[in-house]
Amino acid sequence: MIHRRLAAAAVGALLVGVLAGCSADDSAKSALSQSAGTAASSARAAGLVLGLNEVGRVLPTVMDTGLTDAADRLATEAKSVATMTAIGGIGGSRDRILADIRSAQDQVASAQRASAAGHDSGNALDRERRALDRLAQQLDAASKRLERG
Amino acid sequence: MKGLFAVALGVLTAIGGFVDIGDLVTSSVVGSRFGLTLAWVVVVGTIGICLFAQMSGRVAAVSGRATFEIIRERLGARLAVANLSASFLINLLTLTAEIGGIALAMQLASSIEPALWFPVAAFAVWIVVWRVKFSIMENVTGLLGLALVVFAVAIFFLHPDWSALGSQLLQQPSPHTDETPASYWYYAVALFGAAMTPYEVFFFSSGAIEEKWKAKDLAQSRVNVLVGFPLGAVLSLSIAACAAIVLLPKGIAVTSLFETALPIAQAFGKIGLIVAILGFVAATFGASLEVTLSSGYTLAQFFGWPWGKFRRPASASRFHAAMILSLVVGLGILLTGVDPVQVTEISVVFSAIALPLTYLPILIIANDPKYMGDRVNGRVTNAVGLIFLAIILVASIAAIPLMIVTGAGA
Repeated sequence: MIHRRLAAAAVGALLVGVLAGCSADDSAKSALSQSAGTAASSARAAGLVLGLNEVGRVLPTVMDTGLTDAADRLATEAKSVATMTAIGGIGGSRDRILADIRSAQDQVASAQRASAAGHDSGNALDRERRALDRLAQQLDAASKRLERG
Repeated sequence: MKGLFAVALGVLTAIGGFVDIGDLVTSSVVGSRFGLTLAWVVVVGTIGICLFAQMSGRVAAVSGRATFEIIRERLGARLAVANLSASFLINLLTLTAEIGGIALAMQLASSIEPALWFPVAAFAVWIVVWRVKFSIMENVTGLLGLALVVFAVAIFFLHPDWSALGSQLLQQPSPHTDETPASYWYYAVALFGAAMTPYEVFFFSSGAIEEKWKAKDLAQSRVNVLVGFPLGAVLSLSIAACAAIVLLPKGIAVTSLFETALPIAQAFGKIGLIVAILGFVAATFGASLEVTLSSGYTLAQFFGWPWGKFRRPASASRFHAAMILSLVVGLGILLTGVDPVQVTEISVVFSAIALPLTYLPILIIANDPKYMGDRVNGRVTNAVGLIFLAIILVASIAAIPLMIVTGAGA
């Protein structure tokens, strides 16, 4: 009788442990997916601003605000991803996402420097725009992969 | 001719004054994430605010007394305190969001970071509330707010797929997005709260006394509400539609006011952006004036202090002190470094949570012949009023669980 109770308690504890582990695993995946999604959206917004600038449709003040905003949000997501604990085998995904977010930060910073120096007319920032669009696609794909589990 | 001009001015002011930072942010967030699938909420919310404003305007015009004064007398101090607390706290949160909105709009015009604009915006609001006549203040900001019509025109210049856009109106969450049903309903509550912010009603009913309305002016007030507010809601829907056309397909979820303006840049370029920014500043500045005044109105009317812009500030010192205090608290919250857009998102959801406490007393008083004489609610108004009471209760009860489940819509 005692053995049976002990066995039931052990199975219960195991179940709780597994569920807690799964839950922590799911929660880490969900947080990483959300960060990748937010970073993708910020990179796309910065890309759209640069695209509109190429065709002369955006005010310098709006472009400046847009790039500053994208830089701030990418920095927030980079910090959040960098401090995530790599549990449940998401270490590889986390490192790739972090690298993509940091690349996007570099592209935005490069566009900001060019804009501050007045080298932003026409398609001068085309390279940054294309890179941001590509990084946004990668981040979005990573976010969706994590969501699907 | 003079009467027609007054009606036209009232309607135009109501249209331009309808949109505030809550509508600007929530509409574009919803458009960029859900397309037009939540447009029905704007329609429901607009019917609700028309009903709410029309009842409270009638109470003020017929009784000639302030709304909060009657609430305290009719419902007793305990219920009136609950009403006052909910109203005042939501006002404070909304005021914080509106001042933040002015700063975000000024950042788009100047590249100067919002933190430097917060004190300037709060000071400018105080000066206008202190010095400018009520009618001038209301009409100028309302008319300048009409610049937001640029969003309605932009829809045509963006050459959308009309059938796809139209079909979104009848859909549940868009199959093209990864949004969950909980997020969909969370933003439904947020949009409802943005459409039915209580300050609009306090401002409207106290404005009736500021402008010395009598029962004979009710027809004009009804036209202002029933024509102006729905047309104002069309501006909200246009902002959502622009985001749905440009930002949703690109996978850009709005998190900032600059993203709200991007569809206008795509449609009209720099000139369009200038008009949109003018509209943002007018909408947020006008709403800041209204919320600041509402903060003063609620406290002064409850405690029986002299109030109103028709009085010299020296004769209504506690009313003006309450407004200054509200501005200082709002400014203090913003200076802690909170994101004004997040404050806005939270303020509209809390508006929905507190709505039963602000709506029910008006519904009760609008049915009381002691105050209203033969101008009590008719059967149709009461039937619609009760349906809205049920909707408001459901939205209020669902708001916090949805906020927790979705991580505030993240």
